[in-house]
This record gives sequence, C-alpha cells and structure tokens, in this order.
Amino acid sequence: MLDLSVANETEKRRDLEVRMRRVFRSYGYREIDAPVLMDYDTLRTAGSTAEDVAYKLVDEGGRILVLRPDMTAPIADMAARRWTEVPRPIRVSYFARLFRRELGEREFFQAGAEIIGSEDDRADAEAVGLCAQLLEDAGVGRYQINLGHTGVIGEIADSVGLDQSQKALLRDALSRRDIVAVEGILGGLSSARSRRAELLLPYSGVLDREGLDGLAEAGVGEALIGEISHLLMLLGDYAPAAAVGFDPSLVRNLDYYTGPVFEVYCPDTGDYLGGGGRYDGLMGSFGVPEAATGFAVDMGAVASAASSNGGLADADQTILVLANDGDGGSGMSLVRDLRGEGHRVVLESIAGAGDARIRARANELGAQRVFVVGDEIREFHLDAESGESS
Amino acid sequence: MTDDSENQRVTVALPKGRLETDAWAFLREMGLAGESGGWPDRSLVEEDDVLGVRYLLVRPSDVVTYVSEGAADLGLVGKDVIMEANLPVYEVLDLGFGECRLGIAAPRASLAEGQDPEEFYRTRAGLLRVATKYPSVADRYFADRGIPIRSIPLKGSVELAPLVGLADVILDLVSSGKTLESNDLVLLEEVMTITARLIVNPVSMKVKGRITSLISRVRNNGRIEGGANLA
Repeated sequence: MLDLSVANETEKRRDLEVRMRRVFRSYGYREIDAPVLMDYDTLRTAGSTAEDVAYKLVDEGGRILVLRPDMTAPIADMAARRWTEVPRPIRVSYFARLFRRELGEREFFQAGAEIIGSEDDRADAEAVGLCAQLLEDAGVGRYQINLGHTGVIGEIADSVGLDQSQKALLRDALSRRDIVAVEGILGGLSSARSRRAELLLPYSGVLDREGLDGLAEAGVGEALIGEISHLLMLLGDYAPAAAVGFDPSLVRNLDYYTGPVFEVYCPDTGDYLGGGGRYDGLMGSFGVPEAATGFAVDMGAVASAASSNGGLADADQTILVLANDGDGGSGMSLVRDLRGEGHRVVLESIAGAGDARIRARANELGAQRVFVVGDEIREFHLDAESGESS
Repeated sequence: MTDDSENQRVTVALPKGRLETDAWAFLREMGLAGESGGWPDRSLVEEDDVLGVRYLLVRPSDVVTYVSEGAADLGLVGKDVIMEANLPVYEVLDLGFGECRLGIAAPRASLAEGQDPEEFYRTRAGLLRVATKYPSVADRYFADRGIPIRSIPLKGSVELAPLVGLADVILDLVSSGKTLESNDLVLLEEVMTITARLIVNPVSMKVKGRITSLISRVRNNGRIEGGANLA
C-alpha cells in the first residue's frame, strides 16, 4: 500500500515550492537549473568548502565527477563562461537537490537566488529582503535574521594589535567555532584590549543600527561602520517585516565571502533556515572577476518551520467515485465535473463491491467523500476516524 | 529579540562516566541544576520543571552529536571527544576539570637509545600504524607533520595493539602513566592536554537568550584577569 505520509510530505514540499517560486518571479528572478553531475574541477576552481563532503565518481574517460554539493559553483561557472553577453546585473533563482556526505542526511533540497554583476549594497539588501519574503510566503511564523560582515574580524584584530599570524589563528578559531581558542588568543592581550574584542564572542548578542557605536569602541573603522549602517537602513525598506540585528560574531566560510553575510534561524524549531552573502572573489577564480551576492534556504528546515506554525495545509482530500461500465455516462460526467472543479478524484470500478469493501477502499485512499454511481448517484461522507458513513 | 518564555527551556547533554560528578557540580554552579541535582535512578532523560531544564545522560562520544544536531542545546564533554567528532558546535568554556593528556606511546623494546619521536615514526617499515580511539585526530595530527599513517580504530584496551603487533604506536589518553608502564610502553610525546568543555548548538546560541546570558555570567564570574579560565 502507498504510504500516504510520503505522498503528503512530497505534496507539501511541492506546495511550498509553488509559493516560493511565485515570490522569486514577483522579484523578477529567472529560474535556472544546472546539471546534477558536474566536473570535480569546477568545484575545485570555485574553492568550494563542500569539496570534502561531495560524492565523487569516475566517468568512462577516467575523469572525476561530483554530484553537485551546492549550486553557487555551477552558477558561477555558467555566469563566467556562458552568460558573458548577458547584461548585468543578472538575477537568477533555483530549486535544487544537493548531495553531501553529512551526518544523518545525504540529499538536501535547497532554494536560492543570486544577483551577479552588482556591487551595489541594494543588491545585498534585496537578497535579505527576498529571503525574508520567501519565508513569509512559505508560512514560517517566526524567524530571526542575523547580519554580519567579513571585514569586522580583521579590523577588530588590527585595532587590538594582533599580528598577522595571530590574526590567522583568530580567523581559524572563529570559523571552527572554537571560542576557547579565541579567548586564548585574546587572553594574551591587555585586559582593556581583550575586552574591546569581546564583540567577536558569539554570546555578546546583536546590535541594532543605533547600537553600532559598539563597533567603533571595538576599533572598527568609520568606513565599515558606515557601510553596515547604510545596509541596515536599506533593510528597513527592503525587508520591513524582518527584525535584522547586526551580529559581529557571525562567521560564514571566511575564505569565500567578501562583505555582508547573513543567516536566518527559526526560534521555534531551533533550525538554521538559510543564509548567504556577498562573494565578489569567487567569479575571479573562473577568470572573470565580478561582484555577486546571493543566498540559499534549506527546504526541509523551512517546511518544518512552516509546519510548526500551521503554515502548511495538509493535502486536499481525495474523492472516490465508484461506477459501473456502460452506466450511460453519468459516472464519467460526474468525474469530469469534479476534476474540472479542481478536486482530486479517483475513479474505480464498482464491480459488485459491498459497503464494507467500499468503506475499506475509501480508508486506504484517505477519501472522506465517496460517490457510488448506479441507477442513481449516492454520496457518502466517511468520518476519517471511525470510518462511519453518513 | 526572541527572549520569550517558550525559548527558555534548555536541554543539556551530560557524559556518562568519569566527568559526570564534576559536570553536575558545574551545572549547579551555573544555576542549571538544583542542589539535589544528580541521577538517582539512572534514567536516560530527567526534567527539572522548576528550573526549566531537561538533562540527557549519554555516552561521552554522543554528547557532541546530540548538541550538533540540536537534540540538546548544551553539552559537557572532553576536548578529546570534540576533536574526534569534528562537528559544528560552539566550544565556549574550558571547564578546567577532567584534566588528562593525549599522548603517543610505543613499546619500549622497539625504541632505540635516544631516538626522537620523529625519527622513530619515519623509520617504521611502511606506513606508521597508529592504534587509537581517536582515528580522525590521529589522521590530522600526523598529516600536519607530513607523516603518512594508517590509523587502526579501536574501542578499548588500545595498549594491547602494539604488544601483539597490530600497531607501531598508540595515540590515547594517559592519566598517570601507570597503564603504559605496566604494558611496557613508553610515552614518546604529548599531543595535548585535555579538559572538559562546555559546547553549545550553533542555532541555540543565536536564538536562546537564556543561554547567552548564562554563559556571559559564568565567564565573567570565573574570569581571571587577562585570561579565560574559570577560577
């Protein structure tokens, strides 16, 4: 028997996809896809951190292929090699299945967008705003957006007087989330200096636009603070419904991102929903340096966040119609009408089925409405719990 | 921003075994366990409704998994286990207790007089065979030094492996050195000192205000000026 919960989950995810696709479209993004199998070299050229977790296989010529572990590398490759004549900025979106060797899961379903060829911080604001709108329309009740900037660590490290090698250690420790090591590095400073760097500790909380003075006290330069402040101001326009806080400790793959970054969490499910940021360096590795920003959300995490909020409706009910062959067409015309109205209708032969058999079949299909077409049309409603007809 | 009450329930994963007593003491100090905090009936899950804390008692090596997957917000576990698991969790505090050393040892008989560890490793026939409960730590440690190895993962009694020719060296916890001595093994070098750590799920860190304020408080209370250790 078909496991209905599998069908329910699949349909819910498709429904989510339909709603999110509508949002992408309404923002003027063009939907693209990329081959699931890609050259290992493409992934390596992109310097993807997913390299270690990618499934690798070998083709008949001995070339190494990978099942794509992310979409950013294939899109950057397309932008650099195939979309050279397309006027910038390019706005693209995707829904993609990804493959990674990770704890618990192998396959991930992701939705995302990229804006390629714009240095403007309005593009960064648009990415955050679009991500927030996707979550709103997906039916996620509460979500929290933390904004960060890859420049913050370096400026704080310089201002408290860390040398190059200490700075490298600090970045490494922060990206491994090893705060004990971070404190070890800061512990070598005078207490006044180490206190200034405390903004980098992940439990120091987030700052709003008025609170950005805290960055100046930590030694972040005026130019960078101005940049962050401007982006927060833009987010008031681009993502009005989202409360975005600036999180100096936010670290996302430091080798890859080159500016503003953000992450989205669901406080109700405790899940990471998605994130992204500016990655101006990546395109250069494909030979054509250009600016780019983007993000991706995890569809599984978004679906469970939406479910916990009651934002995902169960699949609509199946209607079971049982008819005899050669009944003069009344059964078929009923089915056509119901289907035309958009119902999910299963037509099966009555073939002498008794009441008990009909009820059992309706239960199997999860159908609560049953039409039995004989000389006349009889309609039954079955209680989903008891299977009683009325 | 998200400090409302339903966020405030906290789940803590505690390691069964040698760190258990100290772990409870730390939770009490942190205000995350009552005076009677402990584990009378050895059930797997325990709740303290007054404090709003749920406790999970699991194998040390599973603590990191529970925290990284979000089944627990916080965990207490040894640095050795964190390094081996290599999963995304915040390692926020060095708790100071459960101190021991991770070291590399070889059979006395296989060592030449005055041989340094590096030379010993490089003069083995073929790949250096390392018996250990920490195969990924071993892989990374030797890869960083450019020594090719074959790690031999074992679950216990690691000291036996070199005695029966299964391995050239062991990489294991050494507390007193007595176990090494009684098995005729010599400590070649110390890899690092291990202590218990407080780890935090990355999303819990961002969305649960109760956790961040607890950590800040403990950190500032126990702070040695200019350092990061707990008093």
